[in-house]
Amino acid sequence: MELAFDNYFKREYSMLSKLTGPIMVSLDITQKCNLKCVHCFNNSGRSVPDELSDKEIIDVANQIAELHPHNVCLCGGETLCRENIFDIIGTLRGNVTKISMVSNGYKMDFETAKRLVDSGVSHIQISLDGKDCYQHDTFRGVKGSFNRAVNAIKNVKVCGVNRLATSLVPNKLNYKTVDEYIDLCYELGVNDVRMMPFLPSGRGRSIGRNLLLSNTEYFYFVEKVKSKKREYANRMNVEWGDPLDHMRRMPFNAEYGLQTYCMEVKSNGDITVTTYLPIVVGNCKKYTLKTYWDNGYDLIWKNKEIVKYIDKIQCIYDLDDFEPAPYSGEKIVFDIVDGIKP
Amino acid sequence: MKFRINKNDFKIRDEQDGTLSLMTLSTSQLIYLNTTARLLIQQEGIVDFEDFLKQLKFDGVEEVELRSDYQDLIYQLEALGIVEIVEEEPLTEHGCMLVGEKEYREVSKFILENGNNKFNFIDMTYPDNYSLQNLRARQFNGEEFNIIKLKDGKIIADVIIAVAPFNTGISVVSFSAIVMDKSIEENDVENIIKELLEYSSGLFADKYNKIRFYYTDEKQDYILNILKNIGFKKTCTLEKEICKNIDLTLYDKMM
Repeated sequence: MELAFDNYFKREYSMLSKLTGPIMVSLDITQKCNLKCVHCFNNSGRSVPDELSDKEIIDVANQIAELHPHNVCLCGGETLCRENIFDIIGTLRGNVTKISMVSNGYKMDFETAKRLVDSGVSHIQISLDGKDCYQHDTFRGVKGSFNRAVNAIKNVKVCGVNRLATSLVPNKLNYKTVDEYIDLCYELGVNDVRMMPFLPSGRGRSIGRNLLLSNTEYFYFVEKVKSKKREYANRMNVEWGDPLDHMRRMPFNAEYGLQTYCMEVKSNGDITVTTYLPIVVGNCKKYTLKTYWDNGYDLIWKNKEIVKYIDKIQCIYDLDDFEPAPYSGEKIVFDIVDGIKP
Repeated sequence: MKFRINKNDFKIRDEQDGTLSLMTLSTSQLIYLNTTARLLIQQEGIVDFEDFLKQLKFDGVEEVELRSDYQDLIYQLEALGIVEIVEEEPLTEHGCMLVGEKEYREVSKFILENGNNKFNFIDMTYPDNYSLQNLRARQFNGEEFNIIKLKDGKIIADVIIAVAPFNTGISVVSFSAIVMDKSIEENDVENIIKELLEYSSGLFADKYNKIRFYYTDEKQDYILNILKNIGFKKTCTLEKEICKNIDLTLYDKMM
C-alpha cells in the first residue's frame, strides 16, 4: 500500500519537482513599523541596521522577477513605511503573476489605496484585531489605529482590489466577540478573514504573553469560528490557520522530490527557510535568489542539517524554547551556495 | 486572581462627566476611562479580584457582566503596564482540563506509554495515530479534543472526544478513546471516567446534547459495564458493520 501511495504521489505531483523557481516569494521590505503591537512576533519597530537600501531592494526585486514566481507577498514591519514601495511594485509588475501585500492600514488613505491597486497589487491584507477601538487599539498600541484600519479596508474595497483580507490574532481582549468581528468583516466586504494562534515569539514572548488565551478560551474561540465559517460558506472565507503546518508539510513533500513552495527574504537580504525561525541559508547581497534556488534552496526542506532545527518545533510553545530566540538579533547562519554551516 | 496597580507609572486627569484620561509615563500612551475604571485604579496594594467585585453595586448591571467588564479592563491595563497580575487562577494540579499546545507532548507520551493498560478503551493498532503531531493536528482542526485528569500535576487519565466537522447540526459527540495510567486501581476507574465525561459535557453542552461511544465485540466487557453504570444505554446494533462480520453497537447518554 505504501508503494502505491508513493507512486501515486510522485505521478500526480511530478510537475512540482520540475520548477524553475518558487511558486511564491515573501519579501519583508522593511522592519520599520508605526504601531506597537504587543504580539508582534518579529519585533517590528525600528529598521534593522543593515536594512536593504533603496537601490539594493530594487536589485532584490529584479532577482525575484528573474524567478517569475506566481505570487510575491510584500510584508514587514509596516509595508507603507518603506518609502520606495511603489518602485518595488513597479519592478515586479509584469514579471510576477500576482502581487500581494500586508499592512496595518494606518497610512492607507484613499490616494494610497488607489495607487496600490492601480500599480498592480491584487491582494491586500489589513490587520484588524478586534471589533472596536478598545480591542484593536489596545492590542496594537496606538489610539486611532482601529479607525485607520477600517478606513483602509473601505478605501481598498472602493478601489476595486481583486481580493481583500483581514487578519486577527485571538487574545484575551477579542476572543469572546469573534463572531461580531467576523460579521463586521462581512459588512465591510472582506473576502477572506484569516486567523491564527498568538505566537509566543518576538514581543509576543514578553509584553504580550499575558494576553495569550488559555486552552478553554481557545476552545470556545474556535467553536465560534467554526460556526461562522459555516454561516458564511460561499460568501466569505473564514480561515483558522496553523502557523506550524508548513513545518510538517514541506519536509514531507521534499521527501517525494516536491520543490520548495516559498522563498523567504528578510529586510536585510537574508534568505530564510521559515519566517518563524532564525535560520538563515544565504543573503541576496551575496548571490542571487536564482543561484540559491539552483544550489539547494529548491529542496531546502530535505536538507537534514536544517530540518533538524525545524523538527524542534512540534507545537507553538516550542517557539518559546527555541535557541536562539527568534527575532532576538541572533541567528543560525548557513550559506548553502558556499557550503557554510553554523 | 490577584493584581496590583502600578501607581508610579501613570498620571490621570479628571475630565467631564466623571471620566478621566490616563497617560502612561513609560510609553506615553493615552487612554480614556470612565467611572468604573476609576474604582479599579484607586485600589491600593495587592487586590483580590473577588473581594473587589463584592464591594461593587451598579443598578441594573448583572454580576456576570460586571465580572466580565472588569476582567477585560484589567487585561487592557495590564497590556499597558498599569496593572500587574500577581496571581492568576492556578493551573489545576488536580482535576480535569482541556489539553492545549503546552500539553500535547505529555499527552502523546502518556497515551503511547499507557495505551495497552488493562482499563482502557482505545485501538492501539496504529500507535502513530497518537503521535504529538497527529494529536495536535486533529485538535487544531477541531475534529477531536483531549481531556485529561491530573493528580499531583501528573496525567492519570485521558479521554478523546470526537466532534462532527464544521458544526453540521449534529448534536452528538463521541469519545474514541479512554486511557488510564497503569497505577490506577480498579476501584477508581469508574469515578475517573465519570469525572472526565462530566467535564467534557460541560465543554460541549452549548451545542451538543448527547455523548456516544461505539462498541464492538473486540473490546473488553469490563469497560462496557462501567459505562453502563455511568448511564450509557444501548441505542442500536449495526450488524456486520466492520470488516464485513463485526457488529457495531452504539451506546448513548444525554449530557
